Amino acid sequence: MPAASIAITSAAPPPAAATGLRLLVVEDDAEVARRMESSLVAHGHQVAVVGDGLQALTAGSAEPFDVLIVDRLLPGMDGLSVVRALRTRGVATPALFVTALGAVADRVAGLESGDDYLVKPFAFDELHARVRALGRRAGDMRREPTRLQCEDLVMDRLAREVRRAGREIELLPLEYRLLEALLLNAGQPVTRTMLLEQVWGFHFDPRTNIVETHMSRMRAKVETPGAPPLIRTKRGAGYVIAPPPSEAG
Amino acid sequence: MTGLAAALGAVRRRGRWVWRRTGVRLAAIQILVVLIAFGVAGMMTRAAIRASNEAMLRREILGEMASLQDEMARFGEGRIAGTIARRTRLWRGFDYGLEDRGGAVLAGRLHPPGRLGWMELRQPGPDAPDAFLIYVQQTPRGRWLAVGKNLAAGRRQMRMVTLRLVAAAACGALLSLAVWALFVRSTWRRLANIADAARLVADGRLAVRVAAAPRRRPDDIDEVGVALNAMLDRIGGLIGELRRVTTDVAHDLRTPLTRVRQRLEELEHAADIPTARRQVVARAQADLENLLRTFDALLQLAEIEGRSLGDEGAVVDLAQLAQRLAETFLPDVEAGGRRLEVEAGPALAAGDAALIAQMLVNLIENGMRHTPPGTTLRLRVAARADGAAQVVVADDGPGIPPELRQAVLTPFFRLDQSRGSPGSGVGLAIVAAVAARHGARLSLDDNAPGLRVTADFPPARRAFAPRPVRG
Repeated sequence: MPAASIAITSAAPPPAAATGLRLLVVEDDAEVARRMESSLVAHGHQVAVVGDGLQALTAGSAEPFDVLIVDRLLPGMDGLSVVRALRTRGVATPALFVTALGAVADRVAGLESGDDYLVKPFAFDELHARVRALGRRAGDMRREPTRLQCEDLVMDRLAREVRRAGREIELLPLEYRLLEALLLNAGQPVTRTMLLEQVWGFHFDPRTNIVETHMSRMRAKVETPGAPPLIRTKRGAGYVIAPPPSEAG
Repeated sequence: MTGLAAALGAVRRRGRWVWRRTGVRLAAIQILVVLIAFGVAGMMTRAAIRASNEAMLRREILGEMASLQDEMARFGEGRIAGTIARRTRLWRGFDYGLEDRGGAVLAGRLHPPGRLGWMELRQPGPDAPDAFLIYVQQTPRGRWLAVGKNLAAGRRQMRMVTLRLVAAAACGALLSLAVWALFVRSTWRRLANIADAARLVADGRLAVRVAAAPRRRPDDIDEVGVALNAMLDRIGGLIGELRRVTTDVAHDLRTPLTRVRQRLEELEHAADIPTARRQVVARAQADLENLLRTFDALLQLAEIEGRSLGDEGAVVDLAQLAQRLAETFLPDVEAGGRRLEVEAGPALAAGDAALIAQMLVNLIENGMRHTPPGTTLRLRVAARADGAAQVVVADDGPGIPPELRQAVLTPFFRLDQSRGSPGSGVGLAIVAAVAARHGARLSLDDNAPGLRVTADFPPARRAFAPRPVRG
């Protein structure tokens, strides 16, 4: 089984502009682990896979990782206690817990600020978006940016002001928080589920299109008619705010 | 006037409340039995003493009479007046009376009323009327001779006996009260403990147990507590087992489901698939999403119902929550041709903000799905007079027939019976579970027209008061 040894797979040519992250996947199901690995590698990350908590402890304390992806139900051990043990050893790497439990209590229980969770079975787009967000957050951990920007769209988080090309834009509170969630992950997709959690605090899926509705209202205020949009919908993956492709790169 | 009536009513109510306590009733019955027993014993004692006293008096009086007759027989009737005077002077406890036929007093102070035999005689004494038991005979010369004894001494004795008996009865009653205070009150307290524990468990605190002090010889109340605890352990075990099975099933199903999902995604992204096949993959993915949604909802329902209350004690600002939800849902509600009116007064509830939010979201979405365009949805949050929060979600749509209002709260029950309609079918079941979990009373009523769902939360203060949690 490939999980038996620590295999650092070198990055394939990254499909995205973003630089790859160093990831440790702790997953006992070999097939799930293999697919996760290949999908993450395809997104330009360096991935190490281990199959149980003990190996995770060894690997996690031996090498620096950007994000730990940890299954909650490991053989004979809770993934949460593995991460706790690592933390006591001074490893502050943020963790993405993958849980099959799905219960609210379990979802929220182990989370410290900087951690996140993903419920099995997950879509890979969800996995990639959350790994990216965690990796970015780990970098930004020390300084909470007060000013977010994408092209000529500027958000001043102290004044709670949004300006586009110097012109102030009036946003409703929910629209402001939607834009904030996108800007905090500028260049990276933010999924619908992540928005539901971050903007609304909903840990369930409402049956109505609240995300889409508020997103389209916010976009109508933020985007300049006729100009290429900053906020784009990625099918199945969510939303991303980034400079228009023509100007990027 | 009304104030007085209210106060009296309160006293009466409180009286009834006290009277409902078994301990109080037992104490009252016990005291009554003690008093009746002493009463009966007293009357019998008095009767016995009176009878024996009277028999003794009669014997003594007859003896004295016989002695006087003997005097008359030996020394003649002429000297009897002197004898009576002498015996009166020497005072042997007897009183005498000797009158001639005309009623003239010859000796002594008794005035026989002109009849023979035994009788009770009342006549004025030096300070109070005296009562005598007398025996009257006629001498051979036809004079009336009476010998008697004052009854006052006997009566005094009887009064003293009665007094002692009453004192003993009072002591008995006091003793009963003391025993009650010591024993029944502790019993009462222990029963109240058991009732408290049962109530807490009913409120969802499954970890609570009856405090059972280890005793060498447990009594019946200890046994009730022990039996209740055993029952709670068993229920707790079953719930734990159920939860473990749920977790296992979740895990066992989710891993293969994860693989299915990943394989479908792999297919979706594969380059060499014809468009027609790609549609099949997309449909399979959509089906899988639906399956997972129902699966999640069921697991969540099990989790809300199974978890015991009390691990989270946050105050939820329902007014703020209602405003936030109004802001969230207003665009969608209006886009569907409906209206949303929100009335949010200050109201606090104790509990899990995320769950309460989900409850309200489910109710609002339910209103959006099951009413025709043009319907007005109303979300009202307010504090009742006792400070408890009340949440009302109402619409003026078609409503739910009264006989089905409980049924819609069960999982997978659908009013229109068409499985094709969107939704997992557990939305209202989750609403009911969240309400139960927070100790809120949920009622579905006729909004005339439409449906009105009301959740009455318990007062937040009470929910936060330190509760005796044992176990």
